[in-house]
Amino acid sequence: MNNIDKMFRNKLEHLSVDVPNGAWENISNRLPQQKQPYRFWWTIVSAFLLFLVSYLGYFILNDNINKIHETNIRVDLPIVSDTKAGIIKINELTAISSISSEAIVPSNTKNVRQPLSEIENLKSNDDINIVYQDDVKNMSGSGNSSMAEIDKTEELIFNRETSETTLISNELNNKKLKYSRVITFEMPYAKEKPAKACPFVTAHQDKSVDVYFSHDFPMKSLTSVSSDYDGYKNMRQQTEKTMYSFSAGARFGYNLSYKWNLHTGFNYSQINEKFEYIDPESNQTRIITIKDYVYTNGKITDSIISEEKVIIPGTTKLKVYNTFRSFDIPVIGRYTLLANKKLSLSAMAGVYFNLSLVEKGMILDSDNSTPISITGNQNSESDIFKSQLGLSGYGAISMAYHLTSSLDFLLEPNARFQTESMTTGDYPLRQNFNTFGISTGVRFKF
Amino acid sequence: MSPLLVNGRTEKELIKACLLQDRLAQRDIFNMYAGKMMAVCLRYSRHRLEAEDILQDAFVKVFTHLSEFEYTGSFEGWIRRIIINTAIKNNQKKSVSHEEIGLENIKEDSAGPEVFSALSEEEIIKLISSLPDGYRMVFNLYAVEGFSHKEIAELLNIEESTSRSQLVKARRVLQEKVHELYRVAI
Repeated sequence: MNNIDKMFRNKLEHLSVDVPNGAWENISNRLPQQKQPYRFWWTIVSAFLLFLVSYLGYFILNDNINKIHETNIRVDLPIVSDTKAGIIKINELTAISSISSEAIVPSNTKNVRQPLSEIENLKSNDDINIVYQDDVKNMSGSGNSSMAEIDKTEELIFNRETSETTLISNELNNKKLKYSRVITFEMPYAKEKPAKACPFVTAHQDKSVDVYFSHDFPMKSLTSVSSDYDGYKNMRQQTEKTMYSFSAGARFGYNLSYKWNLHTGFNYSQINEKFEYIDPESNQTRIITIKDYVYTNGKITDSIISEEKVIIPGTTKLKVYNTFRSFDIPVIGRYTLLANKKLSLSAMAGVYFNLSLVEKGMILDSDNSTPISITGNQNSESDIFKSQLGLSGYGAISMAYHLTSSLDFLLEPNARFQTESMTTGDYPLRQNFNTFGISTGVRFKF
Repeated sequence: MSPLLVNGRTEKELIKACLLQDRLAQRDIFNMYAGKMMAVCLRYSRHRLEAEDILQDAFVKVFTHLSEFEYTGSFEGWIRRIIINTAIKNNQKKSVSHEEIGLENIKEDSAGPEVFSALSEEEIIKLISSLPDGYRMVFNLYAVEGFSHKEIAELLNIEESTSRSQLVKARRVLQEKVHELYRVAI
């Protein structure tokens, strides 16, 4: 190397010049895109499922006109003297329905008595034919002519929740009508037994036991206590990815009032995540056995065996499945929004009292960004995660399909939010898991 | 001596973060070395636009091949090597044939080392950039980077003798150009 070369090297070797504007942006655009966090998609899926279940529940429940009314149904019954029996058809029952005299249509039916038992067995949406018989000796006229002797209008008031069909029959019979008539009612609620929908009838079946399994999709939140730890937070976010998780449990339910229920029991939740780490400085130590032969006059007479440690530098990919297990006592209120004999839709809200939190797996250390164990009885665990989580909020839309009078199938899109950080105050990051889940289960009512 | 911290992270931590596609760490690494590497790119290219292309191509390679860095040498040296390889490949891709300047055209009264010392870094880069592609490559690799002729021959896929002769020619062309500059200045 001559003097000119040296001079060039000295002047240029450590030279730094201005970097063109926009160079980093161009490079950044060409680098592999960071993956869209999957929790984004799970949020969309959860929201969609929540909407679907709510919509279907609402649609099914409203497909029937059987809405729960707590008011009495009033029927204004006209006293009509007609030549033939009449048919009164009520197409729609609202809270208060009236039957006017104009609604009476002549009919040829007369002197027919239908057994009351048949009336009582009629179910919702069936027509109820209530036939009244009185003295037929006073009947006069024929064909389409009518006597039209309307003296007065009497009023019948009966409660839907009582045996209204019987009541109607008795009341109408008490009128001692002159002529036979057929009155046809559409009586959606004319049934002997109350709907086996939620809420329970307080007189009986006011307790229940739910057994459920929830498919959970957790979303992890990491917040650094100061900007100095933003880099560490990013590294943890990059190395840990939440996975399919689950929870299961049983809860006892008690009917507080017509629509309100209280549930409590035991819940087990397991949040799973994958920890992946590439260690660029992984040194692998291997022991090599060396056998040296001793030759004498060209023949092997002895051998010496020795071992040597060799350190091979390389890259190690570490993959560990982390678990966060929590044991909780849920206390949840449930309010029935809509119900019919097949389905009921309820809103649920409450809290989970955490009894215990147990971790297993690995994360990056906040001091040197190297993997450390978080498994219960191993190092560092006590410094990072709490042993109890405190309170979590719970909300759900619960759809119950009534399989039998005492057994429901449950479908519950739910969400659970941790109100407190899982990490201790000494740790530089605050960690929370919020989960969205779809719970399925059964409810035994007794 | 404590390691240099960039936004609270050492170079080693930044590299680890880059392996995880941490875009902030990648930007920090770029900002750390971009100035020096741009100077290298300018020496291996004929104009600034070409140097910018080399710089960007090379840094994309740095981040996509970072897992191959084995910590056997300095990280800066590893990046520099990628820059040089990228510049060489960029030069080989050019369809323009190498310019050749005969030794007979070089004047005898060339400038000495003391004249070169008076030149600024910018002027020196301009001088190197003005060299024909082959000369520029060999001169940079030998005089500035410290490669041997054997290594240069392997890198550029040429004979060792070609490397030697191109180095001699590059020096003389540089002397000639400096002489002209000096004469104009006077």
